[in-house]
Amino acid sequence: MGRMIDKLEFTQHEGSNQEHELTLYALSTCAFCKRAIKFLEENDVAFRSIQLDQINPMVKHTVKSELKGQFQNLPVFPVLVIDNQEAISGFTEEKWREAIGLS
Amino acid sequence: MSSTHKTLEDAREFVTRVAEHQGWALVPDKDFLEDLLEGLKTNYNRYGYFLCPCRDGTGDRKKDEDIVCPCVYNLPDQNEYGHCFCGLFMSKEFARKNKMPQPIPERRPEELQMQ
Repeated sequence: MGRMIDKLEFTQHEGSNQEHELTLYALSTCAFCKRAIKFLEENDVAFRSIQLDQINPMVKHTVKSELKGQFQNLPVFPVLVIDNQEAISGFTEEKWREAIGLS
Repeated sequence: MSSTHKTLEDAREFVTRVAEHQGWALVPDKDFLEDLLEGLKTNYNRYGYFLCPCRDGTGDRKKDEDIVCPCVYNLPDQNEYGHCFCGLFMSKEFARKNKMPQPIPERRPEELQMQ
C-alpha cells in the first residue's frame, strides 16, 4: 500500500534554484505559512506546496500521521521537507536560508 | 449571505475587542495582522467559530475547543515568549519592542494535535 503523501496533488512553484527537492505543507490561513511561501518565491526557489486545510479531512489526518512517522516530529505548520530527508517545522528565515543553502 | 457569515471587519472587531478586554496588544505589523484576520475570517466561515488560523483543527468545536481564538495557550505563551503561537496577540511589553513575532514551540498536547 502506497503512502497518501505520494498521492497528493501539489501546486508546483517554478524557480531557478532547484538544488533541493522541497515540499511545503501549509495552512492557507496561517500568516507564518504565507511568509514562508513569499520567502521561497522571492528567492526564486523551486518547490511544491499543499494547503492541508483545503483537502479532505481524512486524507489530511493520514498525511499528518505519515509526516510524524517519517520525521519523528509532530507537524507544526509550515513544514518544509528537504530532499525527503529532513523536515523543518515553523518558518524562521535564517534557519530556512541555511537549510536550503541560500547565501 | 447567512447571518453567521463574518467579514474581515468582523474579525478585526473581534480581535480588537479581545485585546482591549484582556489588556493585550495586537501585532503591530499591518500585513501580518491582515493575513491573520483573513485566516480567522476563513476559519469562521468554514467551521462556525474562530479556529486558530495557525493550527490544524478538526472542524468539531468540542475537539477544537482549546484552540478557538483566543486559545488556552495564549497566556502562557505570552508570559514565556511575549506573544501567542500565531503572533496575533502579544503582551504590551513585547509590542513596545516593535519586534516581529517568531515561531514558538507548540504547547498543545500531542494527542490533541493528532486527533
